[in-house]
Amino acid sequence: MQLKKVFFVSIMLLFSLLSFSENPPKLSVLVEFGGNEVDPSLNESWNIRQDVGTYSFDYSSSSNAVMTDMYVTNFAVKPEISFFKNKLALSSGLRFSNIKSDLSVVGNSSDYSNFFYLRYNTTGLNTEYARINSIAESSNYLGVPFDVKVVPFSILSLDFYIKTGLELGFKLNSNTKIDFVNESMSQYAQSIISDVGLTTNNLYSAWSTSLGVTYGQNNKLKYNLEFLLPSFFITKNNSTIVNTDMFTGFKCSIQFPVK
Amino acid sequence: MFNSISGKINLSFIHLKHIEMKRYFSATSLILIILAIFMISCSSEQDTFSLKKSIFIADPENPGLPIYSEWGYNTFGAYIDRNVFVSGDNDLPIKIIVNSDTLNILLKGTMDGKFASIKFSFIGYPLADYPDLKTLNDSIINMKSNKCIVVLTRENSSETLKIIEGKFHFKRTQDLYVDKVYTKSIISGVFSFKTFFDKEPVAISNGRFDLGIGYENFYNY
Repeated sequence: MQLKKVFFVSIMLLFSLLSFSENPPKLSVLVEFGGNEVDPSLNESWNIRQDVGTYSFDYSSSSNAVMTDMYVTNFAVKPEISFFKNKLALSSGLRFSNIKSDLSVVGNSSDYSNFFYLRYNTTGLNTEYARINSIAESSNYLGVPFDVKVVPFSILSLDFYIKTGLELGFKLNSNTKIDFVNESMSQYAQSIISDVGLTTNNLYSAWSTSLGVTYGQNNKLKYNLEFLLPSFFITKNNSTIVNTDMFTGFKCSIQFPVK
Repeated sequence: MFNSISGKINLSFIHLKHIEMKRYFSATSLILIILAIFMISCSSEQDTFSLKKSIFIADPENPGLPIYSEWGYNTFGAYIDRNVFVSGDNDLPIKIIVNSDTLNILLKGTMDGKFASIKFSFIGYPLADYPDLKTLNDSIINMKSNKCIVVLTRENSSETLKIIEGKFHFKRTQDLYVDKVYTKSIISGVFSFKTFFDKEPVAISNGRFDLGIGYENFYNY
């Protein structure tokens, strides 16, 4: 019911814009590339520790630690319709997003081993750990973005804009790889991942806001560069390795006019 | 002459336009630089998960003590009345010493910020080596019996404690495997007892331990 209302209001708004605008709307197609650096934290479903030994080694902040990293790259093709002499624009289309995340050891490796222990089995009277160099995951999503762009001011051929948008994507595939210290453990990789019991979300959704600049003349090729303000994931578990919340990044695009 | 003046005006106009453009471009550069700085400042600091050999996860219900765990986190803790006796990072938290048929469990930590240790001696447990600790799984030892001796060491003096009542429960003793190879044992459990410190009765309560036992901290002689 709520969705229907939103859809109806959106359509009405679109028609109002079309009928009240002095200039006819202009259509263009954007080919866009972007990258997002995500602020991740370790998903604690992965039971990780440095060692199963009892000797102390280093109490300073330089001691070894597991580093989490996550990066999203995306590629989109988006038709854009603009109103009021290009002061307002709506765009949507298709966006392919690749989400990469990983866990690895950093720190004073000369003092200590460059791997961590993962506890993966605690049944009965056994506790089992595996020595791991790194865990990496890659997931691909195909989605539909919906962006609204406002151009508050222009200088010469530069249009400065603020853009906000939502994106909803569907998972194409996902792959988690474990790099074991002992290669013979590779045969257990899949069962270890299963024991952790996490799967990547089939949906991917994010809300982003950005500041950007467009260079180019009307009815000609235009170039856009924008920087994301702190933006947020709406869906959870788009990585099984890390927890995500906020991201920043950039997008650049070429805008082709459609006559 | 007119041409010359007109030319000068044109030149000045071009010059002005040039200055104006320069200003615009420097303004644009400035905005882009600000945006870049903003982006850098917003870019994520990669989160780290500290790794330590003793994993002390604080128990919110029992401040100062580690949570009860069974994964070989190498921690222990107990309340001594209102004070905390807890394992630290510096000392090996446990040594197990078997003399003949006596199993001695030496817990080393801090009490009131100073070094302290408690040694539990259980008679009738002739364990040959650390894999044999598994035989203690889910066993409860009555500390009031004459087969249990407890010695407290603090401030370089040791005293044998007279036990009023108490129990020591090995809730779970496990084999620990690394890369499918047996490596050590994990003993986890709880303890509590009442005794006397300087003729004053005290309660040692909420005791818990989760300790890895291997070649480096098991002795039989």
